[in-house]
Amino acid sequence: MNFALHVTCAPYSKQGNLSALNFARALIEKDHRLTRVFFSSDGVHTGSQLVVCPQDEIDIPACWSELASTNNIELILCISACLKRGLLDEGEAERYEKGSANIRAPFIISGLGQLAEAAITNDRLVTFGV
Amino acid sequence: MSTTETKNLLFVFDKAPHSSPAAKEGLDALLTASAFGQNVTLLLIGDGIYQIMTNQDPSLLPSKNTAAIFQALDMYGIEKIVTLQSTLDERNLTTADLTIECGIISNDEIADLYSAQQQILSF
Repeated sequence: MNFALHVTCAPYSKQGNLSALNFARALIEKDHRLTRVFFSSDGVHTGSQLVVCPQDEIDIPACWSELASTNNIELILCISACLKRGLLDEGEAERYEKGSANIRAPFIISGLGQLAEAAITNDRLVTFGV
Repeated sequence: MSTTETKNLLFVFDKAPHSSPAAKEGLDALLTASAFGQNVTLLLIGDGIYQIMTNQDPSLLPSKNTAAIFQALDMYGIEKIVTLQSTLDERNLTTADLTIECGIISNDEIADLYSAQQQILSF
């Protein structure tokens, strides 16, 4: 079955973000296809390159990056949520004349159309928000 | 984008206005899905019904008046907006308290509504 996830909560603030990661891993383990994870609202903090995690805790953003790179999953950050929260890729940093960009690979910034498309083209869309 | 398919998408709003950015972001997602030609329905449940209460004035917060965006939904072709009778009853509200027209379904009918959807998005 083809799945997409929608994550609306920040890592380390609510359990939902880590639950989404665990769910993503379980999907792959069970031979489902996870095509895309769309992060909106506070969920976009997952895509920050500047997260520094204590050594004895799970580096949630790094885990997302690794899972996505290994399994060819699109990690998409909602652009309007990103801009408001100070998450910028090179292009947006240049456009708004900010000094630096801070998006972690392989996360990319894109629009809400990617969420709509994920809902349309996958068998299941599962939201994690609390 | 390969989106010629049409699906039934239910958007569920269950949070009070101005308490979080959820409604604003949910509305954006709802409008986007509608622009993609999808068969969208909006369910306002629990405190989500306060999103469409009349006489809201968040200008002192200050915050964007999202009720105005709800009023524009029919202009964007989003006509299926429903709530539960129990949601109204629990809050001592009637349709006269609402700023837009809203269908009312019973707790029994909600199962049919959910069953008819391919995807459900909660905000």
